[in-house]
Amino acid sequence: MDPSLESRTDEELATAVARNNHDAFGVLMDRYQAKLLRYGRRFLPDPDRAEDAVAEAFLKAYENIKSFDAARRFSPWLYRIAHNTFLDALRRGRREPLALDLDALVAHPSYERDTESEDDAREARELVERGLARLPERYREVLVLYYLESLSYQEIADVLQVPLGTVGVRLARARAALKKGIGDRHHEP
Amino acid sequence: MTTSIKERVLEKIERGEVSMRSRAHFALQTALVAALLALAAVLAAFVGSFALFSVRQSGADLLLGFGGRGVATFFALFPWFSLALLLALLVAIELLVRRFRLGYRTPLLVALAALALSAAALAYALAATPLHSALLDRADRGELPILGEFYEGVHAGHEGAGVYRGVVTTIAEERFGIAHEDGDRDTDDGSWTVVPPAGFDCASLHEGERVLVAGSLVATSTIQAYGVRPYER
Repeated sequence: MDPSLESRTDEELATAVARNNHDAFGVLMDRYQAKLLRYGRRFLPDPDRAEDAVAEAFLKAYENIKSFDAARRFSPWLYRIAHNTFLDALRRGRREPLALDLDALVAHPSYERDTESEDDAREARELVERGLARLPERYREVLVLYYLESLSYQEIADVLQVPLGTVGVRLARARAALKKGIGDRHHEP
Repeated sequence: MTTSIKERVLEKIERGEVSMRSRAHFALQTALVAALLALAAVLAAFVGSFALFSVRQSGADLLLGFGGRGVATFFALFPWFSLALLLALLVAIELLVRRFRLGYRTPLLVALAALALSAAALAYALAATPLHSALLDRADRGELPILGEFYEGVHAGHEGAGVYRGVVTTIAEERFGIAHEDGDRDTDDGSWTVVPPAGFDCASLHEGERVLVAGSLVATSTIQAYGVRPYER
């Protein structure tokens, strides 16, 4: 394997993959498989199913790599594919009624919380880890992407394909639901 | 554990079980979506403008000037099927647009409102052209396959809903006569005596003028009207 691959950016590696450089794809997988597994386990608690879904996501990424625009960031593109793959795996064998996403209906003002201190962020990450399992899927995914995967609002909007304001609203509601859930657990007899 | 995922994926790639889709595949896919979008937009404009044309052509829009009863009759006669088809097309357009970044970044209600406004503007613009009149003429001559039946429907009478069209044949002080004969239908042909609403000046009419009358049949061939308007279409 060409050692210089390790120093290349994700976008440069994706461009190399599109030119049939399989080693470059290997480096991308090294960079993302742990992250995607962590993300996948939020949807699919069974480790085998999560692994299968991550492998499927990588295969889909490889199949579609020529649709990737190297002028954009690679990580939201890959997360988008993984997100869809996890949801497909989750829904496989389970019929769900068509749900209308009320948060995405109207425009919401959006501002990224750049005033959050490192302590606040660490506390939030711990809260997320502890209370995630009890949250509805739409709150879980946005919390994981923001706190655990450190994606920006814009990148989360691209992964979930929702308006930017919806990300802000969903995060605020998810934080509130998380605090309430953890508070309720503390008060359980 | 994580190494096995990488190995599994690379093995499948090496064995050729998975291959990259070409750029042409994605370009074709985008072109197909764009073509479907354009087709849906054209269809939406056509259906919307047809609904406007049929409302105008049938004189249903005149009912809006006849008070509450006229408005209720207008809604009863409105081409709801065309509107439902238009809405279905707008939803299809929205679903196609959401495949693109601009589409999913726009809140759903904003996007639908923008689409509805654009469709209405396009429909008004298209309805102002002679397109539908020309197609109606062709339908009348039996030269319009498939769409002919829809266009012929524009001529349908609505006597059952209390809406009559006809040419003024006689004018008296407090009533006037109308007759309708379109040559190709029997159901809406006939002659009626119209008792106009209070305050209506029969002298404002002249023989040979086409009018639209909204009212109830109170005796054989006598209409107690709640609205009368000239109808030159």
